[in-house]
Amino acid sequence: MESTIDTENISVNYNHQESKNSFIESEYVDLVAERREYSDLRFALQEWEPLKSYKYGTPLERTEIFNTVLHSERVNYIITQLVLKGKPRDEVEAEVSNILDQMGHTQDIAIIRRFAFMLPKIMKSIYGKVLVNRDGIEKVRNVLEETPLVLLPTHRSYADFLLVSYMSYHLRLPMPVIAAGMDFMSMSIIGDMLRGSGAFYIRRSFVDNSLYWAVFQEYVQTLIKDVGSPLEFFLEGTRSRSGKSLPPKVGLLGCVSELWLRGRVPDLALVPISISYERTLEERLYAYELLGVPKPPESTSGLLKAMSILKESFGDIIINIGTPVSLRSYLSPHADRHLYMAQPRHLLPLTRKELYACEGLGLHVLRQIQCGAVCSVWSLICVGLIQELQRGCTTVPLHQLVQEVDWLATLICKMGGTCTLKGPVDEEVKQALSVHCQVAALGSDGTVHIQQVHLDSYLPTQCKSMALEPSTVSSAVSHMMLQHYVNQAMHHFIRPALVAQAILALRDPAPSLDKIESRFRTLCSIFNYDFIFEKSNEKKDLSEGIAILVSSGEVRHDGNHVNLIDSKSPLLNLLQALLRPFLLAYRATLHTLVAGEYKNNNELVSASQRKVEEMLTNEIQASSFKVYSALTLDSLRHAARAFTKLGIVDRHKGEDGSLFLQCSAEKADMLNQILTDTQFRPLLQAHL
Amino acid sequence: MSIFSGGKLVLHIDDILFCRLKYMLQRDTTQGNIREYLHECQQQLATECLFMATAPSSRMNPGHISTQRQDLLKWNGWGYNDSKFVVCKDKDYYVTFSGNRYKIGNNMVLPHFGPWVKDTLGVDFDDCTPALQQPLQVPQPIINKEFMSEFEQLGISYSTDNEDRLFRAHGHTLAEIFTLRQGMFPRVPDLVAWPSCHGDVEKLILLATKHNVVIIPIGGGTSVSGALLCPENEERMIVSLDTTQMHKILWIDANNMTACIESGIIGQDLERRLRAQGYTTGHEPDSYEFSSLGGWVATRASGMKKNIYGNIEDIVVLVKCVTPRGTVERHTAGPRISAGPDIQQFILGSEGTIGVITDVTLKVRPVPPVQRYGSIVFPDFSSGVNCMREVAFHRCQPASIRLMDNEQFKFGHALKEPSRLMGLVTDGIKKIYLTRIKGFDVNTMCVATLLFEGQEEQVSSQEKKIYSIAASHGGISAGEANGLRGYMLTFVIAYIRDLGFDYGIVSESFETSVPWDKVQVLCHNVKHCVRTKCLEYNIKHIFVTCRVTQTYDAGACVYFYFAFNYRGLSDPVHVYEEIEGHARDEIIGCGGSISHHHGIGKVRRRWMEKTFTKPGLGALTAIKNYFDPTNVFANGNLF
Repeated sequence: MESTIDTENISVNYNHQESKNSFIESEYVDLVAERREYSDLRFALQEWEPLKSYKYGTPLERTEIFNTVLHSERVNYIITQLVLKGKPRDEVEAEVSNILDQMGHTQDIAIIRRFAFMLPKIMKSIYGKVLVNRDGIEKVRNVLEETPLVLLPTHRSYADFLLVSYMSYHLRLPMPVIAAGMDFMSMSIIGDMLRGSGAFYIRRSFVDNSLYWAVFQEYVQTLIKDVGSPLEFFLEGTRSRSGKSLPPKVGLLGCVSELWLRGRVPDLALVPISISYERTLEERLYAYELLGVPKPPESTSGLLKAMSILKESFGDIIINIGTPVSLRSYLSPHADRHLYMAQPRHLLPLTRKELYACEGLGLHVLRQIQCGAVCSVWSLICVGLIQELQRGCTTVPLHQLVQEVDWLATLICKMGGTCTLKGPVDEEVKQALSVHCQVAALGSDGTVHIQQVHLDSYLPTQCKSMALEPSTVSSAVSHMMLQHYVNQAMHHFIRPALVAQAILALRDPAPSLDKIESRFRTLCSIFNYDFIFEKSNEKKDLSEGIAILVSSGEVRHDGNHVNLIDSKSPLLNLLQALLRPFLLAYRATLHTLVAGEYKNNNELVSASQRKVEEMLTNEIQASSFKVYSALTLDSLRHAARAFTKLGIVDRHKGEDGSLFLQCSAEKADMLNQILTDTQFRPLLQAHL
Repeated sequence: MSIFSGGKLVLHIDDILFCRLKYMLQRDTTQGNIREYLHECQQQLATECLFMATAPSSRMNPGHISTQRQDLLKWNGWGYNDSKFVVCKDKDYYVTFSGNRYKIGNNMVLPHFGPWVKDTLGVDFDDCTPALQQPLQVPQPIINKEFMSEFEQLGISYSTDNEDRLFRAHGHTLAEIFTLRQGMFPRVPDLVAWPSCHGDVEKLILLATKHNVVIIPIGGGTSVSGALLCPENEERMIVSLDTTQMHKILWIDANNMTACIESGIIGQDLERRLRAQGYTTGHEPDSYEFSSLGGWVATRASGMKKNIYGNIEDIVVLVKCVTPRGTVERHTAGPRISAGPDIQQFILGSEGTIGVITDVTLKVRPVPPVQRYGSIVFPDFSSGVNCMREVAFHRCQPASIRLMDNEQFKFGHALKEPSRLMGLVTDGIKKIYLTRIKGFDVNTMCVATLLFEGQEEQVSSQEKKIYSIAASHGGISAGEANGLRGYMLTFVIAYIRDLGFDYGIVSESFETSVPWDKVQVLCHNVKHCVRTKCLEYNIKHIFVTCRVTQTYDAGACVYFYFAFNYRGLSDPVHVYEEIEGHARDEIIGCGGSISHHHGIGKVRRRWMEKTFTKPGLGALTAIKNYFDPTNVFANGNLF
């Protein structure tokens, strides 16, 4: 069979993009520059109206919204159903009111002004610049009058909650309403202030509560179709601790998509917003959390404690607003709306096919978000540093690091990404190191020292629930801190890395394209939760991956085959190194599955984490890389989920009737081969 | 004036006068004296009556459409040769309407129209693209000699004249008229035949079947679905079977209130002749000046006054249809029959794919003594739709009730004749009343037009009910004149397209039927869809508007107009078709139907399977194949 992968065109494309992707600061507006010169008070008290807003919306009071929801067909139907089952009507209606009271937002300009006064003060002290791309703002302004907006920012930090609203206030875009998790609500003062600035609160899990689900859907849909407020929510559902995108949650997106799928709005403009923090506020918390060190619950006092960070510097923030994705254009080819139009809308939950399409849409938008993210110099530094750290070195000569960063930046541009690199590389590297001096500091000797971030005092006093040895945690924290930023650049590398893995693990000097493709597809489905792949784009991803390897001289593309030229080349080395922690985490999960039986995923994940720990400290592996970042619970959970989805995990009923998760050795072995670390194969096999 | 001698018309005018007076008194116009106002009303009515008099139903010059249609009707545009919008140049450009058939005619200057087209559609009157003066070379006819030699024996009149053939090669979609103005169809009928009775048709079909000749029936030729276009690749001889010479009313049965009529009769002729004897069918589609009875049956037409008289399928009692298998008819006029699926239902809407409809028995009604117009303004479209929904819920619809959206409301104003001083004042007062006192927004308000028919007491009780429902939805009665104008514009609006063509504007209408709960959202979504698609094609000036034209128990009919300025586009017709395609997808995606009354023809075929499923469509095809095994009726419609 003739293969259709066209590598030549793609490499040509890459050369095109190189110039386009350089970072030009004049294309951005700095949201705090003005605040540094003029009065915050005047800014907060200015007469405020959005420049443009949705033409067909009607501003509704909180109670009017509640009434619309209460009298909607959907909620009414559910109420009647419950009444028929014997619940008194006023009880059910009271419950609806309760749900709404708990959920509903207000959008009080006084509170917004309070934020508008406070936030610049904080931002000016901890951030350098807060940049927003001008063309993105224009694109949003162009659609928002005719089409309701859904703002979909990345979620890396609590700061995200306020940032988009603050940006809207500054740019006089209509103020968004924001879907927030219930855990915020319980924070005193802050919870109410967020509500007053447009946040509404949803329970984390309510699949079984039909009344809640109906009220929630109607609430969200009323906001969009009747009020016409921009709706802001996080596709990833929660803050991504790892720095990578989390797989999209389909709940809210499905609820929003239903508006179009059931013909209630003409279209929705989904706006991908990539917020790139040069330094994440919660970087250290995340590192511990991902290792399984329990975190304190969200509370205002916790937040106040976190206020100590106000003395530190967190670099710049770059908000990149992407081209709005038309929900109609994306879903049209995947939906047969007319099939469901002869029935009452409120009786038709989304079909399986529609939900699948929504998931695809979520992945698509996440990819857009990734493509819009601007890669920081620090991310590139971390790519260099973590490789040293894995080899056991904690110092790197500055000039070597600068060289590495320069090379990586070129590579990323070649792959269509954008880096913040704009001036001389060594200056930029020094600048980034000064922001992150707690993790890596430039010594007077011209070498960069990776710091020991962990202090024993960070560990909670009673750490029963912690699975890892304190010594492991102590070594791992620095890895985790670096990995957080490596992960922010991972979406650029993951496709070529998986292609390289597919080629190398085949152990064939000239594997055929078909074989590579099938391996690549398998790898994509395994890493489906850790990274974002669009199913329909896999072929393109593959050819782009091959093209990168070809253009860097690692492989030659020769008709139906790919010839490996240099398996020790720097690019292949880099890709292998970047993939290594993930391969290890997934292999460890496989081992764990083969070795025992687990009652649930949590148990499996903890066992897998201990397995990783064991593999890292094991005598046999002592000479190999110390990939401590493989301890991350994030990837281990994803691994468990992926293996379940792929049917690798068998579910047994134990003697007492409880469920057990297990995996057969043959299945595991097959995957193990695919996931093998191509530089250490013999060792690992011995180990297995 | 002799035209008023009918008596009924005089009565009618008095009603209008009375109504006017009442309206004025209601508004308690304290300033000005009533005598002056009355005079004003009389003058205004004189012009209105000119329209009434020349309006199709009461045209002075009786007579059906001759075989030489082009003598009366445009060969490359809509309607009468003498009636059209004309752009004149004085100091500035201005627009008038020629001829004296319509109220806005007589070359009266339409002062608001020029500015409106400039603003809305970016028309530059210096940039004119006139149509061809003469048709280009018509394709040579394909003649089946054996057929011809036998056909000539039948004594049916016919023609192979190029103009006659071209005139019957098309309907009135945008694409067809555009082709006529700038080019030529690849395939036109090879011969036009004018059978004069059912017997002629039977002989002709028999012969055509025998010699494998294609028959494409045509009545008034007002199709807007591409139904009359000859399939380009048809190699057999194509005969255009023109029914218009079968135009007799065969009998009227006063006992059963039915009339048997030949299918080629044109709507206005049928109505005039029935009225002369005190009857009406009550079927008035917007095209009824030019469309034929057979065409109504073959496309499932809908009339403006269906609320009283029903749509064509409700009015038809019996249909006679000649197919290649023989004539299909029902030998009983029993009012309802339980005997399996009704074969007449397959003939209704068959669009010339299974045979020729020759004689039709229709229900008739006595001409109603009272006919009154009315209009209501609403603060916005949504309250208008809610009002219509409630009217339908109570089943108290007047003969006609239509709701125009804000764009169409403004467009109606653009076609207003110049106001006299008093008119200016009253218009000014009305506007101030609505916007200042009632708080209406000129950019959201819209208007419903009403037509009441029946006995005086019926009409007045109906009026009371409708206006009170309207009031509960924020509607305010806006007088009879506005209602009358609204219905008049329906006939005139079709002429605008030809003017647009000259100045780079293409326009077309499309329609659908939709359940009540989806009416508003469908209107909004379709307009949004059209606007976004235009942006994608970089079209800057567009006009898209809709009106709700019919109400039913379970839904309504929505009618869209869409026009855009195509300067800078190389293939406007293709772009139009693409956009209408997206609009239809949106309609169907929002729960609307494939068509309410325009039919399928060729332009809407691709949505048939989506709407009716494969087995459903298969069954329809099987019926066609039974009636017409050799595909004599090869116009390619429906499937």
